[in-house]
Amino acid sequence: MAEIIVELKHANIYQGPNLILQDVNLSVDKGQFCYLVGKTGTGKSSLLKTLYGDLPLREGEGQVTGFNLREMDWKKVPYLRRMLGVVFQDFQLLTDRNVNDNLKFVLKATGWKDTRLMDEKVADVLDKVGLKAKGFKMPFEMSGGEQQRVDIARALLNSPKLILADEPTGNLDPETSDEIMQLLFQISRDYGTTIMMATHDYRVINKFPARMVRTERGQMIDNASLTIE
Amino acid sequence: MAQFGKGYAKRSTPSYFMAIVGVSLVLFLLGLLGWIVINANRLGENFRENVEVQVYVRQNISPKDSAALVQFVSARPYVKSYEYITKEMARKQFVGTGNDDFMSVLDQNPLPASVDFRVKSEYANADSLNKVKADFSGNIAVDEVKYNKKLVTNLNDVIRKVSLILLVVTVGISIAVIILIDNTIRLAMFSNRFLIKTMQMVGATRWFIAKPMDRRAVINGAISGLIAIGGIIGIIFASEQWIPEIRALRDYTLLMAMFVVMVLLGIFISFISTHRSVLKYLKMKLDDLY
Repeated sequence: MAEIIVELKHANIYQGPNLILQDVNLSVDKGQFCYLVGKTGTGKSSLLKTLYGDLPLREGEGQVTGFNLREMDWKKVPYLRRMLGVVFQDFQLLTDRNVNDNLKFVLKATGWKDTRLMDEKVADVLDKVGLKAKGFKMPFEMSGGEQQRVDIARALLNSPKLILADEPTGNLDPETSDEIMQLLFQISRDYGTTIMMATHDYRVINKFPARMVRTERGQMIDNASLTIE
Repeated sequence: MAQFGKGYAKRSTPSYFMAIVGVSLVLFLLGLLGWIVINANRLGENFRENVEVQVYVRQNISPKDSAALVQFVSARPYVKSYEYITKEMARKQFVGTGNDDFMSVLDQNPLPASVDFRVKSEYANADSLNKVKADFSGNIAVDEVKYNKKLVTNLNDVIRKVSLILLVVTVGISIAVIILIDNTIRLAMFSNRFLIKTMQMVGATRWFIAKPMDRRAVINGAISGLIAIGGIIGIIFASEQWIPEIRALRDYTLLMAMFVVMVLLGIFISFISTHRSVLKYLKMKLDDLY
C-alpha cells in the first residue's frame, strides 16, 4: 500500500471566522500529482494554507507528512514546513539577497551547518531547475519564469515529500507556464514527490492531465475522472 | 493573492540607513537637552557659590583672637573659600567703590575687620545660612554676621523654577524620543514584513528569524548613539569657541554619564522596538500583511 502523504477526514476549513470548506475528505499518496481547482474564493488557497500550517485546522482530522494538523502550534509549524516545499504564485523570494543566499538561508534555517555541503546542495537544486549559472542574481533582476524556478529550487532543498504549489503559473505566460509544469511533473516522477497544485488555469490542466480535486460551493469534490469543462 | 513584482522587490530592501539617521537625530536632540541641563545645573552651582558671608570682627580684639577666628572659619565644612579683610583693606575697598576717604575727617578707621567667606553651593539657602550664622553666635571675636538674604532667596527661587521647567521639558522630550524611535523602527520593520513571512514559510523558527534582526538592531542603536554623541561633541566645541565662558561649566563626569545613557537608550529602544515588530509580523497571518 502506498504511503499517504496528505490525509483529511471530515475537515472543516476556516478562514478567520468564516467556514470556507465543509466536510473535506482527501487522501493523496506518495508520488501523486494532484490539481486543486475551483473559482477564485472557493477555498483553494485556504485549503493549502491549512496544509502548510498558516491556518489552523479546528474541526475534523488531518495529517501532512506525518504531522497531525490538529496539534499544530507556532513551535511545531516550522518543522512541518521543513518537510514541505511551498511554491507561491508571487514567488516570495527574499528580496534583499541574491539567489544563492536565498537558498542558503533556507538551508541554514533548517539546520545545515557545513558551507561546502550547502554550496553543493544549492548548485544541485539550481541545476535541477535549469538555473545553474544564475545564482549570483538578485530576484528583481530575473524574469517571472526564472523567479518561479528559484521558488521551485527552494522547495526542493530539503528533499520534501510534498510540494504545495499555489497557482505557480498564475503570473506567467503560456510558454513559461508549460516549462514550469514540465519541471514539476519531472520532479514528481524522478523523486517520487507528491505535488498538490492549486490552479484555475484549465489550459495547463488539459495539457498536463492528472488527478483533480475541485472546490465548489463550500464542498470539495474529489474525482480523478472529472471531465474538463 | 496580491501581486508584487520587481518594484516591490527593490523597495523592500531593509531601510537600516534611514532608521539609523532617524534614531541618531532624536538621540542628538535628547543629548542636546541633557547638555543644556548639565550646564544649567553647573551655572546654578556657580551662582550659589558666589554667595558671600561677612563675619565682622569685634573692635579692639587681640591679633591672637583674630587669628583664632580665621582658623575657626577655615575649618568650617561649609566654607568654600575665605579671605581675611583687615581694617585697612576695608578702608581701601570703601574708597575704591567711589566713597570719600573718611580719614581726612576722622582720627581713626571706624570700619571693622572681617572674615569674608563663600559657602559651598549646597549651603547657599536661607535655612543653612541661618545655621551658619548661629554657628558664630557664641564667638566672642565676632561682632556681626551678614549676608545678602534677598539675593539668596531670589537666586534659589529662580534656580528652582528653571530646574522645574527643564525637568518638564526633559521628560516631555524623552517620551517624544522614545515614541519617535519606536515609530521609525516599526516603519523600517514594516517594509520587511514580507521578508519575515517568507522566512517563516520556508521553515525558519521564530528565534532564527528574530536573532539577526535583533543583533542588527543592537548594532544600529549603538551606531545611532555614537553618531548623536559626535554631534553633541561638535556642538559643545562650537559653542565653547563662540562663548568661551561656557568652558568653565564643562563637567566631564556628567557628560560621560550622559553619553553612556545615550548609547544605552539607543540600543535599548532599538532592540525592544525591533523585537516587538518582528514578533508582531511573525504572529500575523500571511493575508493580514497585505
